[in-house]
Amino acid sequence: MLIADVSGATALLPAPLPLYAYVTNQGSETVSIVDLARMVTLDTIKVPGKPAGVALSPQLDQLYVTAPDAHDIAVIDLATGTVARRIPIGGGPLGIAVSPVNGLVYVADWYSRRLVEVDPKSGAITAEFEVGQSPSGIAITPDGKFALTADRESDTVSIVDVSHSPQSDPNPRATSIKVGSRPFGITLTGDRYAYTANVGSDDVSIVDVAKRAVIATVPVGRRPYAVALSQDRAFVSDQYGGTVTVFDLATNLKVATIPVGDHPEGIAYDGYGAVYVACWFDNTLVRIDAATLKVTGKVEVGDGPRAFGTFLGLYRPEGASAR
Amino acid sequence: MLRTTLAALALVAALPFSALAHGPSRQKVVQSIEINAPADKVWAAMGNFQDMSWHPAIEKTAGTGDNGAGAKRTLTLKGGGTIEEALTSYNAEGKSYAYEITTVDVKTLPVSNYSSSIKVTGDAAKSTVEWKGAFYRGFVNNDPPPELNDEAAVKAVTGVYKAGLDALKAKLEAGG
Repeated sequence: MLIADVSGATALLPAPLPLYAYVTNQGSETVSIVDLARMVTLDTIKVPGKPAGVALSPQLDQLYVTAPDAHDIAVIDLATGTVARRIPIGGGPLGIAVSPVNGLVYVADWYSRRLVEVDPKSGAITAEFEVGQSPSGIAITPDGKFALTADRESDTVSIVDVSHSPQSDPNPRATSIKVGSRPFGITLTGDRYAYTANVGSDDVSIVDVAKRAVIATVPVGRRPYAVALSQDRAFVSDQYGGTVTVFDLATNLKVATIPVGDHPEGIAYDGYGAVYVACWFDNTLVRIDAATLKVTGKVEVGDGPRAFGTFLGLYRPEGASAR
Repeated sequence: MLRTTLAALALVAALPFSALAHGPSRQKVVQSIEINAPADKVWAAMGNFQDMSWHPAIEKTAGTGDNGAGAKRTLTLKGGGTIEEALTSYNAEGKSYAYEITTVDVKTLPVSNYSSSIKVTGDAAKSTVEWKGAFYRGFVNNDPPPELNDEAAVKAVTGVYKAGLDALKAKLEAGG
């Protein structure tokens, strides 16, 4: 696991252990800030507009949240716990990701074929790229050169050159790769493989990014939402199954099916041995030990947590404390 | 780049969405009721997937597959309209089952991607029935009309659950 330094180069330092989770609660229109060591909610930030997608700045000091009903994204300053600005996107902003190299924010418009590039400092839309229909999850390669989208209505992954380099096409066309039915979440292992959770076909497609091809399809539970990747395993949230399906990254064979709660959705690995998953119907964030595959903690969050994206980080607002 | 992209967007805006398409925010409804009747008796009254006569809005239940894997039913509503549903899990011992709507006109019920479960808990004297639903609004695109928005979906499903549970309680407590 790598973190980007401020200069834009990628430092060969291990990422520190995440201390907090930022959970988007779509029903209550809030973000819950959870202390992961104690599994308690420290603070709740109001974000009107049915927040769903979540991503962090490379320095982890800002949180970006999509608000599809407000047709914009909210930029939250994690030092103060306040919404610093809202940036209009139009349509239905849902998936969101950040370039680890330059901090540009990529937003998927659920109602169209748009991937929107935003400069969070100026609030300007700096580019728009055409991808498949209803782009959902987004992943950015570690070099910041390519954005990958899971296009839910096209059953494709789009790979688009977002580098703006002098050598690249000024109006790049996405490469489209057919995957399973209704891909939603997409997660990268470094720059090598992308894993999509396919809601319609109850499986995960594994895309070789360099070859632009699907190399394997792994059956999981019902209506998978997203995939978290540890060093050796994939953890897939099965919305209708109420489970997390775990499979081995070397063999693609199923290791376990872990009951976690009703409608598990956003899921992330902390880099050190824990997986966190938001259970939408239960209003909980659940912790799984990635080695023993046991549930080791649970905390109540707001109503309808989705936590769709990258939601583990290092900072909490000054003065936030357990209530 | 903006100009060509927007022109392309105008073209695709007319494309139909799939049956699995939906709005951005899933909704939830949970309704429960206490019934002064043994849990076994309550389950006997409403636990058969192929007989939804306990619900006052249902005229007829016709289906296949009993309570087994892959079972289906078509509910015909009093006053018109049908809802096609599929059983997704059935647990007689745990007195619960789960199902999904496979086909419904939004004029009949303004929802999409609807899944639900119903469960009885309790003892020889008293029971609780809990009915849970997860679904999206009937309108799959942006800016829904009022009759197909999130609130309309929640209101409709809440009404269905409440009417059913109230009727079940009335029937069982009357000794029916």
